Parts: sequence; structure tokens; C-alpha cells
Amino acid sequence: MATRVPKKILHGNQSFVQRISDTFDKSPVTTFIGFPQQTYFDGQNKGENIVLILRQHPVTYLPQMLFIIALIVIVVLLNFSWDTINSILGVNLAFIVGLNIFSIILIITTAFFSFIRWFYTVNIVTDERIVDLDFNNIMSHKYSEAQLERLEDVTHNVNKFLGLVFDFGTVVIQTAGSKPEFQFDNVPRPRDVQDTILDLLEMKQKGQI
Amino acid sequence: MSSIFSIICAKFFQFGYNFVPEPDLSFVNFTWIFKILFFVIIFGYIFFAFLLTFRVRILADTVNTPFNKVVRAYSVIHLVIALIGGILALAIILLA
Repeated sequence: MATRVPKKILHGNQSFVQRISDTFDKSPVTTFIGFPQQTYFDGQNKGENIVLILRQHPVTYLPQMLFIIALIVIVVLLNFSWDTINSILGVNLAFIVGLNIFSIILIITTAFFSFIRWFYTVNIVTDERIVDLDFNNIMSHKYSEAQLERLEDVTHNVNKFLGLVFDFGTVVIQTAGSKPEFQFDNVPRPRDVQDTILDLLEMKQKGQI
Repeated sequence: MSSIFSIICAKFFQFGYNFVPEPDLSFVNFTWIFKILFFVIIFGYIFFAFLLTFRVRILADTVNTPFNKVVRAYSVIHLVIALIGGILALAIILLA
């Protein structure tokens, strides 16, 4: 743990370090990583340490998963019933082959796009600021950040049935900046996220970081 | 004259007979509608695959993780699959 956590944060003796210590050795492709190694973001200062990297809980991508399953089922059904389709619409076998190829690449693209959306919708907490990167759709993404000293209030809420079952929720951060509210949507362990941000804020106010 | 007119009227209202020539629409069928539809859809799909690759390149520069190289490689592989698959599907559907 000592090798991962910077000395200035260890000296602060805050509870969050112990709370997130079980996530230190997690793979970079996960939802909750404490003190990630070899990870940087655009605009990171020299000596600035990333404390948390958060992504949405995979359960929030359930509709996309169901869509992919539905596409696979449609393709299988299409192959089993092409005789019937041929008799109704008068399409030939080559048309069905082309449709099959298109369906397969559509399934691959839907799965890949869902993964990319999940992977790059990321929230970062450092010892200087919070960063919110939202990849909403193919045409746009949004990158916002706020310095820790501008944070005013941190709350979390777990108000969905799936959030209750899988322990994820939304962390809402009020700031004094031009963007008054930051939202970390559907992040796992929202209590630990709130505790980490508040502890870092306290350390910042005391001048420890 | 009146007899000719009466014959024409009789022919016109005769069951199953029509003086107005019908346009030959035999070439318009479901297959052609599907083909045009798929041409547009596959063109849009290939455009989407290109956009996704560009977006991954930008986002990989924004947040740099050890997994980024793999994601970039996946995005290029995805683009190649999308291009080859899309063109192949389009060719087969249009020639079908």
C-alpha cells in the first residue's frame, strides 16, 4: 500500500486510504480503481496524483446487452426461417447471406461502441481536482473539471432498484464555479467516493496536499 | 355517332375492362426496396465506424491508461471489419 499511496496523502492519516485499499491492484478495465498506476489525463500537473478512477457500473449497460442478445436471436431466427421469408417476400439466398453479414458486423459494432462508451465515460479524483469525462454519443463528448478548493458540498444517492442490489449510485458535487454541479453517475461504492472527496477537501483546507 | 359513344361507354363500364393503360410496375418489388434501404443503412454504418475510430483516438489522448493501446488496436480492427463486412454485405445484397 505504501508504494502506491503518495507520502503526502499517507501523512494526512485519513480514513479513505484504508477504505479504498482493496482496489489498488485492480485491472485498468474496471469500475473503481484506487491510486491507478501508469494512468494520466489531459492537463495533469507534475506531482498531481490520481486518487480514484471511476466508471459506471456495468449493470447500467443492461439495455445495450439486451439489444445485442435480441440482435443475435433475430439473426438465428432469420436463418432458421428463410424459406418462409423467401415465400412471402420473394428474396433469394444471396440476399439472406448479405443480411447475415450485415447483422454480424452490426452486433460487433454495437458491442464495441457500448464498451467504448463505458470505458471513456470516466470520473477522476486527484489530490488537486475532480474531472468528469462524459461520452454521450458518437458526435460529442464533454470534459469538465473543478479544483478541490472550489467544491462546496458532496452528496450521494442510491435510489434505483439495481443500484440497491449492485451497490452503485450517483455522487453529486456542488461547486462554486461556472458549472455549479458535477455528477458522477452510477458509480460503484458511492459512500467511499463521497468519503474520499471530503477527506481530500479537508486535507486541502489544512494545507496537507 | 351516338351508337359509337354508346359502344365506348359500354366498353368502359364493362366489368374487368379498363381503357386507361396501367404503368408497368413489375420491376418495383420488395427486393428493390430492401436493396435501396440497405444501401443507405450500410453507408451510414460505415460512416459511423469511421467516426467511432476518430472519437477513440481523441479520447485515448484525453485519458491515458495502460489499456489504451489495446483499445486503439481494437478500434482499427473494428474499422477494418466494418469496412470489409459493410462493402461485402452491400455487394451481395445489390447483386442478389
